Amino acid sequence: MPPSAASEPAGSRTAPGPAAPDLLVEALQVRDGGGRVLLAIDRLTLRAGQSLAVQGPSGAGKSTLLHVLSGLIRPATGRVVWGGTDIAALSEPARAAFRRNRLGLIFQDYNLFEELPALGNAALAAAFAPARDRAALRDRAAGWLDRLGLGAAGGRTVASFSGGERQRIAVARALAADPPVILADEPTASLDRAAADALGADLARLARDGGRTLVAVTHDPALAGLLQRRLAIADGRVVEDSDA
Amino acid sequence: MREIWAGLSPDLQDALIALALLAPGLAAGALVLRGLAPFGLVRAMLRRFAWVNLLFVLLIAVSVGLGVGLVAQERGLRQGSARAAEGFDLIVAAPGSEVTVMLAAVYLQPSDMALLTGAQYDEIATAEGVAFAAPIAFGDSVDGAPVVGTTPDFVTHLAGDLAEGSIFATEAEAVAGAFAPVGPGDSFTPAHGHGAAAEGEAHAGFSYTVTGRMAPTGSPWDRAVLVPAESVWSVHGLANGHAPGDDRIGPPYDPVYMPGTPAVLVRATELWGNYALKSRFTRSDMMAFFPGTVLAQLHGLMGEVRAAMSALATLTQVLVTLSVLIGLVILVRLIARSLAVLRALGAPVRFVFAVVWSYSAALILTGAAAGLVLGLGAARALAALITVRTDVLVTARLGWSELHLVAGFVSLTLILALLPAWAAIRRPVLADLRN
Amino acid sequence: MRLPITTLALLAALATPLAAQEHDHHDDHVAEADGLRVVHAWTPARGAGDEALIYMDVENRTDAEAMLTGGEAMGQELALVGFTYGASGEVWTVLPGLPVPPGGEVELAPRVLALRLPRLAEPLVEGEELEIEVEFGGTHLHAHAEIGASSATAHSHAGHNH
Repeated sequence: MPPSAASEPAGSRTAPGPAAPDLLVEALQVRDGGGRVLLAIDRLTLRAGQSLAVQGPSGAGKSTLLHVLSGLIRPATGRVVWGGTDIAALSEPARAAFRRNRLGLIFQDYNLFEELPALGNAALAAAFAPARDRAALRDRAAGWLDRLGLGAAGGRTVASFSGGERQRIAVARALAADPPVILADEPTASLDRAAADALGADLARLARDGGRTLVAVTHDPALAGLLQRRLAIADGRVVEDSDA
Repeated sequence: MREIWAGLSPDLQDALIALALLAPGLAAGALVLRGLAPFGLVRAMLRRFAWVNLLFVLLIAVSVGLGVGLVAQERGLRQGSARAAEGFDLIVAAPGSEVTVMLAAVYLQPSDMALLTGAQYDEIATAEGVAFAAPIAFGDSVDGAPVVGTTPDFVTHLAGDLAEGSIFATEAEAVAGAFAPVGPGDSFTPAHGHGAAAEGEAHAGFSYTVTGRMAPTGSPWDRAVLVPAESVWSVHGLANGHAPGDDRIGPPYDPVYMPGTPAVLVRATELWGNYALKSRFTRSDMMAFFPGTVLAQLHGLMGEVRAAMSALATLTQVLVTLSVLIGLVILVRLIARSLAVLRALGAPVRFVFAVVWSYSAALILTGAAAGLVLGLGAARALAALITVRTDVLVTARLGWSELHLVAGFVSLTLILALLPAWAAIRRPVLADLRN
Repeated sequence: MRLPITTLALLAALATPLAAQEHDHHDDHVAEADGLRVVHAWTPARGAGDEALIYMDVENRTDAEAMLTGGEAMGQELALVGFTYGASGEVWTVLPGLPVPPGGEVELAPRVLALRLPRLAEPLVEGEELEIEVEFGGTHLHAHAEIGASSATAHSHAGHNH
């Protein structure tokens, strides 16, 4: 899989867009249904535009952190402040709107719609965006597919793509709405080495060149090595922070 | 309001009823889909579980088809039997059961019947206002098809001009019904009686030659062979209705030489004449009745059966609606992960709701449309079968009552489809995302 | 359910000796003028706006033919209508008139003949009576039509002799 030289499409991050917000996590506690603490973070900050690798053994609470940061989980206590907005205090529709407009999500197993073409997946948000934004979303999605080396294959259904290609479609989907923050959950775990390296390089470059904040949960030391900061979590607590 | 409604044509009324039935479902859809365009996504999701969806559509189609077929078939049968009786204005027979005489004379279902005498026939035939009075003499058969003795007038009255050939002019000639087992040029010896008990040798030595064929009438008469009443009497060793040496075919008959007939078809010269003649010949020694009245009464009685059938069809639809609902809830579990991805990516709840509803609506509408086609097909197949078995031409067409049934079903299920959509948006996003 | 009851009633009516049915009093069931009689006029209950069909036995006790032409009720014309049944369903056709031969009678009965009131201004209530005028050319005959159940198929005294 040749690493693609993903660079910013016109009209994207290079042009002044919504600034990547600072992140402040404070007095955070996430509990499961039985009240057991899954994640407890006294204080964590992230500079806008910084890239962060979250590492740790399985079950340590890495994914939980990502879900809290994306507003998919509401913490039992504490604040999750993105650029001045505490999403822990937002209603469900407001958190959905926040994800829609400010976050790009990338999953380990892509979570693409198999029967849709690559472009249909990358521009998925156009299906539920206001009518006036749909064309721009599609254009940007097509631009990202192009830059990720899949421009010519936009009409093919996802089922015909390799793992590496699928994850790049997912990256294009995450970037289509031009979000200032990208959250990725084990983005390279389902890929072979070459594909993983290529994708990692793409992600790091996209974050750096676009001034985007990137938080990637990963077991992959190669990917972690490409990011500016590393956070180690064990038993629901931060045990090491390369910035600290 | 009522006056305006009464002033509309029946078709327009039915169309408006169908629209009114559809309206709640369509309104629900318009509300759900307002400003959203989930169709591409829904199409992809439908393709993803094509086989399950196909099964689901088939379930709906078969049940809708059953309801539609049942209703269409019942109406087809009713109209077919009524059409078969249309040519029989007024029947006069010896007192007895009107139903028995109607079955024998109109539907050619043979039974033992008392005879009207030659004198009675003569009184009917010569009464003022009678255009013609045709004796209908049955009892013989050929290859299972009834051989009926009557007059040339009756042949023309029943089927209009012949499709080919000419009407019988001698006692040895016959006219075949459109689908009779014998045709022009054929010769045959009639058997005495019908079916297994028919005596093939009873009329040995006598044969008819078919000289013409009637156009189709859509009645059991299409399979019959019509012969002069004279020959039926002759073959049975009776006087032939005319004085010896008189070789004429057809009326007037000489009352002295006319052996009698089980039924007489009477046609009046005037529109109102049939009603006057009915009153006139309703008396102690004969009865006069309109087969249409008897049939309408029978159909009226069967109206309760029809109501029961409609109730059954509706109940089936309700049961199917419930299974569709349960099926949709199960389908929602199938697509739960896709829905969770949408939610995770920030799709508004209303959009996810619309996706699930559109998904259900696509299955319901496809199933209902397929059901209409299926029901019509089934009704047509059944109608063809009944036509072959009874010679009553039964045609099954889609009518408004079926369309109303389907419109009601579609509307109700489209509204009920809001429930699985509502259930879908209440599912836990993270749990579904992990599955 | 209606069928067995009707059958029983019919059997009971047939089994009753004719003499026992004879009424020797004059009542509302008979209207007579100049030898023309209207017996057992009746109509099923109907709602306002519906059409009403009125049935009766018409007897001509004169020695000349009488022509039944129609009538009047509730200020509306009654048309003489005859029933036909075919593939298009039940149809009532307006008849110009119906001759009743001298000494003869004509039965206006459901699904055969009737006088039709096209649109009821007010409902016909079961148990009440409807005043009608039956016309034989120039001869008008006033009669009371009994209003039976909406599902009735005959006059309540059908089978009685008057």
